[in-house]
Amino acid sequence: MELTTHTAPHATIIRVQAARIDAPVALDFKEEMRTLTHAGKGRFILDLAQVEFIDSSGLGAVVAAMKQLRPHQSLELAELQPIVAKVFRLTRMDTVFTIHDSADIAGDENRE
Amino acid sequence: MKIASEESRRTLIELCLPALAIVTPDILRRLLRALDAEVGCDVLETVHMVLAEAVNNVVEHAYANRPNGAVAISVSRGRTALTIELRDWGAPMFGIPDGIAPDPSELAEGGYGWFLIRSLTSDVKYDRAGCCNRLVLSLPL
Repeated sequence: MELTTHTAPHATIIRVQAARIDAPVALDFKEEMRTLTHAGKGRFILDLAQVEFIDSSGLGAVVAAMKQLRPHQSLELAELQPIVAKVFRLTRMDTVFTIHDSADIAGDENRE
Repeated sequence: MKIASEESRRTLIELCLPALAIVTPDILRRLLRALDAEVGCDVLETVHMVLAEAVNNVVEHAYANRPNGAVAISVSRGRTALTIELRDWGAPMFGIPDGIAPDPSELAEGGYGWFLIRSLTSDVKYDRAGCCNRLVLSLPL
């Protein structure tokens, strides 16, 4: 699974370059997120603009990505597409994550 | 046990493919393509979410990720509901899980699958005949 990073003024934006975060790729996603977040610091925004579909395994992997952060790191989400938004809403995980409409605008805001 | 049909149903697609995680997206793609002209966008999204969880369940639990199983799926349309039937020849299920969602504050990494199935369907039935598991899911149209 391809993840690309972009340094914004007040966050590192991680863009998921895939249409699905689901059972076949969930473990990969979690491990790649671990590598990226361990190499960086501060605030991360996961840009899900390209992700059309997430299943319960993918949701678990996003939660795992947050739990494996180090102290003084945070993970926020952006650009949830309809099915992704629905999964987060139904499971009420939208109450746990800060969710933005735009990753770029969120990355320009100072939230430290 | 035969599921009583209260209305005439029309079969939209039937397929049987290997129950492997890597094949699941292809199974879903084929089913969604067949349903695209038949149901609205909202129903299609729900079918996608429910079927992904149901197929994952077959792969991970009925066959416990062993690469020797198949899953047969049929989707039929009635007047008020879409019926999805999944059959596999793996380990039996001991009842249908309640599907209670984990508390969000617990940050659970799993346990959402049956909750999503239960939330998005109007009816779930399971039976086992011989060595065949059959799960029948109804989605309101």
